[in-house]
Amino acid sequence: MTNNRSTQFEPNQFRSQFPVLNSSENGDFVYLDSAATSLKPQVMIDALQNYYSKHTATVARSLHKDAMRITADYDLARQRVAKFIGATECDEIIWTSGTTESINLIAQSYARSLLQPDDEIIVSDLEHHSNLIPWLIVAEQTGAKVTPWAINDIALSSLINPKTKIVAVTQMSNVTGYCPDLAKISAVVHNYGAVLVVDGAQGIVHNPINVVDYDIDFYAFSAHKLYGPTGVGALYGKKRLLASMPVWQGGGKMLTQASFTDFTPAPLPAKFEAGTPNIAGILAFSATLNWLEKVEISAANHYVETLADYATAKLSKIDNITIYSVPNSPLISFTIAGIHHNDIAILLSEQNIAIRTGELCAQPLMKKLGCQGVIRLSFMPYNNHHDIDNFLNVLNDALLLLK
Amino acid sequence: MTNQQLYSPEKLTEIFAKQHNWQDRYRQLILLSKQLDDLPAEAKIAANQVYGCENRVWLIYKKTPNNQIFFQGDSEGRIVKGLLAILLILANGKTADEIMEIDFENELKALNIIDELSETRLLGLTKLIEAIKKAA
Repeated sequence: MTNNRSTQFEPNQFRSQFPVLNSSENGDFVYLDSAATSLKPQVMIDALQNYYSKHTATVARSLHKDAMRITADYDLARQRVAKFIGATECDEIIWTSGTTESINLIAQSYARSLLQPDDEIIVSDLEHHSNLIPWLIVAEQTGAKVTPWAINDIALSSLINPKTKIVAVTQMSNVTGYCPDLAKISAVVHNYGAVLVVDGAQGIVHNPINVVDYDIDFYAFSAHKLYGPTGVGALYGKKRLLASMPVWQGGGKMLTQASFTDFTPAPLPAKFEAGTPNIAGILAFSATLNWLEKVEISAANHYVETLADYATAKLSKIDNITIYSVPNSPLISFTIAGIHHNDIAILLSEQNIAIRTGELCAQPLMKKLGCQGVIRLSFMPYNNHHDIDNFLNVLNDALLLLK
Repeated sequence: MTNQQLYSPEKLTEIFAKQHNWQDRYRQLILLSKQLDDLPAEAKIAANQVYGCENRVWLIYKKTPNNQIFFQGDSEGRIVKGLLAILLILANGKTADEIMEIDFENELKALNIIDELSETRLLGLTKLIEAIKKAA
């Protein structure tokens, strides 16, 4: 009986579906920057190509044949997203340009109409700027305040209070890979009648979540980190909340009636989707989700963990290294005393190795970790041990050069 | 400002003529970074910062009574600081008019350095050159 995980996930077969890794032009290209954006499978690229080269049409407007067909595919895309995150209704999924726009939508529609002076928004200290700045903006507009939550130091229950209206937290830190206990957080948040906003940009890739099971009020994510195209994302919101929220951006198709004096917002989800959406991107993301259904995600994740463990074990042997990421994380962030991260980035890029360095759009967390920036490797199931060996060799050469 | 002792432009040419691969050229850049004294913390302020570079870079200068300009610069990364050292070796001690005449890109090409740099790094370099010319 062979029933182990390796029979369910074939790394080579998976990797072969990513043209960037199989192009002779790219040579021995090593991509370890997937937490910034993932590489794209052929199936996604084909769907984009198909829309632009064969079936170009708008959605939910025109009545010609291709327009009707594309509209049906577009609706199916929404169903696939709903299914992927466990939402019960398609109307609870709003298309956006990405996590950033999703969170800005919550801030400018939900929060701005709700918050009163001295109300509180609790934001964890792990957050990417996209789950911090929109809250600072709306706090300034309403007189509410943003309270930082040192998530690993104090319990939410000791910070939350009746003035707390929103708690914003990441599903997985883009710097440390730490995954907050969302079930526990959700219970505390709802005890106080606040709403829970979860930034799923990183987490959705490695730990697809069920928004209903976790009782999440708003969930934001991007397609481009999940093998999909750039410029597409989604916002999940509980129907009761979305329905009561004022519209945000005005434009075509977000209304049912318009005159020079007023307009009537369309029902969900259209009321939050003014203007022509990123149709090609949404259809390509739909194809990606359909493809992803056939991938054994938990086996793939296990494989990624073995890669990260392998890399961590080797990195730990480097003198003066400090690793900031948590064990079993699909990303590794580190610094090496006396070595500036940008020197490493420059020398690695000379050898065709893509990593991320710097503050990673998380300045408050960097400050807390006590560093100016880190070197980050991030892994996906299309990576392999050869990528890591290659990286380590080049890193060692760079360190010799910088000594 | 301290009186840092920089190589002469001739010495630069001599050094880089001897380098035969990119690793060696980068090693020289890293060594050159030591030519520039670290700027004191009080000089590393926003007003002295050159924006548009990947690394934080600071640049200060003074003019002598006979209109020679002397720059001092610093950067967090050693490679960028090495590049900055080259620019300052070429510019230091010259008058504003002379600095405006320097074709920095061409000088770097002659040293075989430009080819090693990616577009974004070149852009950062261009910002440094602009900052030097603006000061002049």
